Amino acid sequence: MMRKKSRYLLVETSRETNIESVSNLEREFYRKIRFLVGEMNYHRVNPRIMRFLDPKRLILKVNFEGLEDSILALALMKRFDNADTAFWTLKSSGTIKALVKKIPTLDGHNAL
Amino acid sequence: MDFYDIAGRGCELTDGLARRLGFKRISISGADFEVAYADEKNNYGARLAYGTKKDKLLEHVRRGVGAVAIADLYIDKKLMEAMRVNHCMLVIPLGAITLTEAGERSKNVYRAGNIMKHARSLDIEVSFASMASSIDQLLSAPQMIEVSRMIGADRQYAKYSLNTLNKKIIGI
Repeated sequence: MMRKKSRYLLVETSRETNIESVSNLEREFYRKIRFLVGEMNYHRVNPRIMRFLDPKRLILKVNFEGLEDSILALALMKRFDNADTAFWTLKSSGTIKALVKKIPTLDGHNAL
Repeated sequence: MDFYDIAGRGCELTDGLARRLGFKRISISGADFEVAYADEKNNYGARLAYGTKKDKLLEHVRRGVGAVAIADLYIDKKLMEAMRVNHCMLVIPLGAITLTEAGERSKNVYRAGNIMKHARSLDIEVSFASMASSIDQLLSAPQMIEVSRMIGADRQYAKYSLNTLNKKIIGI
């Protein structure tokens, strides 16, 4: 079976999200991405929230071929949970390990 | 390559945010450099003119403004010709695309693509800025490149224009 390449995105939100209800947050997040990339392209992106680093940061896994669509979708996502919220794509990498290594270089401290 | 962005008045940046978003600097309109809001008052001599009124923007261009951001993204041939003659940069405010929804967004993508194509055919330098009035409206550098690509710029040009944005406006 052919293995699909993935990319991991470090995403930061402009305000703290309510991660107590993770399933609701995920559902809302995927719904928004599906709306923005379209149902036809959703399987190309195939986004999955891998890990919450803190209330403002998460690691998103996407298919390699849908990387550009997912960055664009996150740029266009400006409202979340009835409030103005930005989703910034800070870094992308081929593995979670490499992505986590990049975090201290962003703001001088490790978020983990 | 260093990237720059311009935020609108009232945008309060937190510590290290510009760096995290992938920019060397995010300049705030009004605080870091002077902006002439074409729809409000006539403060000629600013570095950037921003607004929708074409006659006012034209007057700014004739008086030597460094860059013009057309808020409604409409092409005005007279204004574009004056920009070409005066070597004035066109700044496309990406907020018009990211902050609108559905039909309005499609319309703005189409307009932004057309204005960019028209400007580049006249050899006018084109750049992109978020012109965000709050941090929720800001974009990270990779996102700005992707939004620029959506309106028809290639990746190399998008990177180049984000790199040269501040040279024309702030001089760094």
